Amino acid sequence: MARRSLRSLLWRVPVEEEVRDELSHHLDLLTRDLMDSGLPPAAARAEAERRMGDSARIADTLQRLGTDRDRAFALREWIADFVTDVRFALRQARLQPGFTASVVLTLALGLGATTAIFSVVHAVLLAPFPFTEPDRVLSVYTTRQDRATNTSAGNFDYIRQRATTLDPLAAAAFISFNLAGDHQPERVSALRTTASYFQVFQVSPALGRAYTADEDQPGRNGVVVLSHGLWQRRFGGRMDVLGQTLHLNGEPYQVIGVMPASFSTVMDGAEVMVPIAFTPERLTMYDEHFLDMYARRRAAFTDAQVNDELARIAEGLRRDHARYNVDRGAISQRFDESVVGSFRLRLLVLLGAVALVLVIACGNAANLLLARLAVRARELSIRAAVGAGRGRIVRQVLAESLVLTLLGALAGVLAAMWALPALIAAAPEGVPRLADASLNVTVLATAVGLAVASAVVVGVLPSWWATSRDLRRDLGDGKGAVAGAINPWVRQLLIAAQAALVIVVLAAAALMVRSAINLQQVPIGIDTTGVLRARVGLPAAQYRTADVVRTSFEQLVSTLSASPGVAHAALDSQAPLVGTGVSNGLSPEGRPLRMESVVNSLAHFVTPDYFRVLRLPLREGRMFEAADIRSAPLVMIINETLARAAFPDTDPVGKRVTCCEGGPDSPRWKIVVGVVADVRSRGPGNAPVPEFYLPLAQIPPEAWGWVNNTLDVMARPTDGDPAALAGTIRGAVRALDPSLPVYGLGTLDDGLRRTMAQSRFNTVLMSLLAATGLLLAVLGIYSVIAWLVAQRTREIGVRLALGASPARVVRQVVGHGLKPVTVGLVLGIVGAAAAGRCLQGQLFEVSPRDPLSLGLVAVALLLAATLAAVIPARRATRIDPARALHDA
Amino acid sequence: MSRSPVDYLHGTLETLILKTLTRGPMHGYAVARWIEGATGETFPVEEGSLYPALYRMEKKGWVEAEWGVSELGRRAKLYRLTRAGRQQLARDTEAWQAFASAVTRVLARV
Repeated sequence: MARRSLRSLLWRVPVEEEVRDELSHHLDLLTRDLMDSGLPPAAARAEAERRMGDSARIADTLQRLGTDRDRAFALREWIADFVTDVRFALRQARLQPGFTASVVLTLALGLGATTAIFSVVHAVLLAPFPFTEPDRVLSVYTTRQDRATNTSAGNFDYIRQRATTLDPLAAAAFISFNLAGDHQPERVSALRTTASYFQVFQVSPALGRAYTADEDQPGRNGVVVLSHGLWQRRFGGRMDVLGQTLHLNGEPYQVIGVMPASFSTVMDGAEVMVPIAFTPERLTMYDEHFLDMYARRRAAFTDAQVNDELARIAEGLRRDHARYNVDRGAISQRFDESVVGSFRLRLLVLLGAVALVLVIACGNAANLLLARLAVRARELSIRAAVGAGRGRIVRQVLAESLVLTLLGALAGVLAAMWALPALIAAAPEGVPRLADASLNVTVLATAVGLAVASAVVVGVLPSWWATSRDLRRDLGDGKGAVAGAINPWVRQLLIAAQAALVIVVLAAAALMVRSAINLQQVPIGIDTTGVLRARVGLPAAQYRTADVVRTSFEQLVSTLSASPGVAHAALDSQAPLVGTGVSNGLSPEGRPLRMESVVNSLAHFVTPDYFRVLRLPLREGRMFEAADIRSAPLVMIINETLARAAFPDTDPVGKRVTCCEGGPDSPRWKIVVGVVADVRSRGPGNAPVPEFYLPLAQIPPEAWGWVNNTLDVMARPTDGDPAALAGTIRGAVRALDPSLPVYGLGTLDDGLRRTMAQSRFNTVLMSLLAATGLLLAVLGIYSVIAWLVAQRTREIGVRLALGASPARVVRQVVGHGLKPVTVGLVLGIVGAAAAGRCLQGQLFEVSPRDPLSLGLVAVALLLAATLAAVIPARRATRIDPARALHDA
Repeated sequence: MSRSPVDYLHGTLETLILKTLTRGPMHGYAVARWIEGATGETFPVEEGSLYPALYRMEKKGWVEAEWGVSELGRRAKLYRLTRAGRQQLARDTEAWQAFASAVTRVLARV
């Protein structure tokens, strides 16, 4: 290696000159030999030239070969030198474990957090969906008063017949089935779809086939396609599953296909797919909105043209079926957007915070490397003075930065590998495609790319800048140009920037924590403590009439009420906090029976003890009684929100309302007998909506179809311990019918926690990021002050020798360090107030500019920064003046 | 790097150059004269193949060049055998002997 470098210094002859020299020398020697053998000089020369042949051609060849050779040499040398540089850098890293650890740790924290969160974002937002041309797959909605809703079969058929920009338009609806076969009965979530559903996504089953349009007809629809998950779980992935018969709600279905595993993200939890098989009557029903619509846009049209056409078709709906379609519109949205839409902003906010933390980490690494560079300034200046070129010095610094950043990146990836499963485990249910998150190649490449990019920025720019000056000139002052180039204000600027960025992240975290606290304190209106809930569905094949279904359920609840340990038990078509339930339009008496005056409300079909089980306070009137049966006057109880919406000026008790049965021409009136408190049934973050309660004994027979013969059974224990009740509920269901599955068994407390899980997850992530950022910023401040103290050892020594008090020195050093922090703080507060707007949707009863949060954050940073500055500053006062002066 | 027999057409010159340089650093002219002398003038070394071979061998790292002073008292490019070159020579020698003895055995058959 040494020989090669020496050679490279001495062998600096252009190839052209080398070739000319060598050939003419050859010619001269040949001439001399010929003269020695007796030829006269001129003849010898001529003979020599003759023997050499076409020397111009030889020279050409040699020049080409020589250039080629030199290029190979240069590359080999560069690589060898770089390897030397890397070895040197590794040795340096070993020799300075403290410094290495700070840089590696800084980057590990920054890159680890980025990589883990980026993996989540990649899986949820960026990874393409498992079907072709995702830009052509649309979700189509009908709207009411500009809000997207489900669609009725009649409206679906109307749109399908008219849409020319879509091919095809498919409909699907979620439902759940009791699945029975030769195994334990279980409850499965199912997707009923039109046969065209498969064409929309252009997906075919991995095994077997999809159902045809012919099978999507009433009477011929006894076929089922399984999800990959169900196939694995229940059939062990066996091929002979095709042709087997499954009983869904007691009806036989033949298995004809199994969907690919990748499609499960689209199926969104559904485990079987069956034809929806609309009857001709169903296709003329316009007022029951239960369908989701999906479509493939024809390639010749744009999304805007699709929406234009949908708007025109909706106009037709308002005209042709005016009775059910006042305020009706229709729009489409890209399917992938509709799936990830609500998560996009949250994830982007997190990603932004991650980016800020990464910038803080890179700023820190930059600061540390700059400090190193400053310490080595003299060495680098000497190297430059003895002739090391600019490229040579930059390369060496690059090697050192690369070694450190790659070590940091490696540590970061390891940290992310550890953090990602923890993140996924901590996530709430219902984040789409989160389970797919893994540290994939893209994520890894991104992390390493970030590390390399920051190495280049961190290491190379200052050394490039430094070597752009005449280094030799600066040797005299003992520091050299490199130190000169790393002006202290660069480092101060970095500190200020870090402080500003960390304030933004801290403020975001503080706002989210405050929201979480606020959320926890919101009363949801019921007492969930100890209440256990399970879901039970009675298959229509065995439980054929509404009366049988009702009496069976009543029997279940009376068995349960009489069981030991049960204080109260009740049924509800949809228990609060665990689902969304059925909506019904409701018209108070006295208003015209038109669409505009309908109040959309959440319906609950309940048994009399319901309000006791939930301890839902009665505000006015009475609760339901055993005497409220179908033949008695029909009654209902409404919540306060509905009371305000439907009877703004009068006392609602005793008023009449029509809903749920009987059309506008023959209203079935129900008397409001009571008003109960509002329940935040979708969790504390959601405002109460209008809700009403009907006695289960009074609901119209067709209502059993709306709830698919499925109810929630709830029980409150006598001693407050729900654990023992699980067996009691199972026992009561078994006593009714041993073939019935019990599913969704859990406490309402769990349900309540789940409604807040999403925001808690985001809050935890943001708090982790903020803590990381604060730690990094404090490290950065510490390193700058420590460096400053080291630089000013002599000066501090002199001042102490002249009698300055240590306290004064500490104050000055700390003050010096806090100046940039304060500047950054002010900028950060301004930035945080501006950035808070992105958070608005995630905040609960906290202003994005909440002064308390911002103030706390500012104080926290100042305290941490002061602490970081005081430690090295105090060390400065312990400097022995005599030694300081001597060493310096 | 072992040679296939076809390579001998090109490779022999390189092998002879390597052998020549075991005597110590010398310039291209001396290499040519020495090979001619040693082969009893049966192997004329042309400048048009000698120097390209030297440049290629330099690139391969078998020989190194350095500036020296020739018998004319002028700056001259001297070639020196490297360790890699010495190893290559050993491999070439072995391969050549195996080749030669195989050919000899065939030719000796009646």
